[in-house]
Amino acid sequence: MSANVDLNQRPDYDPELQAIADYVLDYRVESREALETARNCLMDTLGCGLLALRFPECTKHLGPLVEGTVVPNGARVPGTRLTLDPVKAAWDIGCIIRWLDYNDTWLAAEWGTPRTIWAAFWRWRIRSLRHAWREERHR
Amino acid sequence: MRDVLEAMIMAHEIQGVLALENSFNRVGLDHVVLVKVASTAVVAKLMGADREQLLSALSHAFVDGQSLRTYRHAPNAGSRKSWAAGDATSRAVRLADIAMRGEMGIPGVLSAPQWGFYDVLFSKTNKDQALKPKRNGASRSARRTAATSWRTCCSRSAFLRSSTLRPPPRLR
Repeated sequence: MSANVDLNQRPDYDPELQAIADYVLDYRVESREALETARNCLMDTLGCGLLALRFPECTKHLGPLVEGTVVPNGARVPGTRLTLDPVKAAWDIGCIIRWLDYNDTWLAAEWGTPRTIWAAFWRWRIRSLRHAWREERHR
Repeated sequence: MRDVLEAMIMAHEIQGVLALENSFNRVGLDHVVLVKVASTAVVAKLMGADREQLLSALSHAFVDGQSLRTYRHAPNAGSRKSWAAGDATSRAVRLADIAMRGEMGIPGVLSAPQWGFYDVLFSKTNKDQALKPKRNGASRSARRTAATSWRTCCSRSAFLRSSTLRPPPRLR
């Protein structure tokens, strides 16, 4: 039979993927400097996003797929009235914070601007803040 | 808040380390693939993924067709580069959600011979790929494609209808 079909014995995950997964699961950030830099990066990124809201070429992309969609537990897009599902919210936030290309660049074998990643966090930022506030109140 | 800062640091770390030694522009792919991979990893973690879910999400990030870099170069340079990363992060959120629902991953997504990411998209520079004959280089006309798929689809359903009473066809 094996002459006719490829064997489908599933291998273990590629080691590169395992390395990434283990890194995010196990690594604890201890460096104060890294945390401080990340905080500054967050502020700067927010600034880049807010400034981009002045540009119609950018803002025409923002908003839900169907006009008027209401998402009760959605994620906010900073600087706008929008509350969207997390996927579109990440899209919109990523769009505004990168629009003006003011961000830092990482130059190596590949060039890139890693901070757009931040867009994906916004939802959890809000949630964790709310959570923190709630805990604070209960104390 | 610390979780968010930590996730930011990790995402920068993942994207930075991958970029150190891997050049995606050499194969014509946009480096936005790194945003997707790094975002997928940390978003899945923030969603509370276990190791299996994380690996599943990551493998799906690589199995996606990756963006062409052409929107950063003449004659095609344009504003897609301004939302490319937003697109990648939103995909990361989507893939993490898919994985969190228990979707199976693709363990050999990078290394599978012939069909994996390395063999398909990463082993040849865009300059040195052997070119197909001109007539096969672009996708065929839409009309022809549509006609073909209709035919295939119809004949297959005809086959399915009739095959219930017949022995299965022999594999070649």
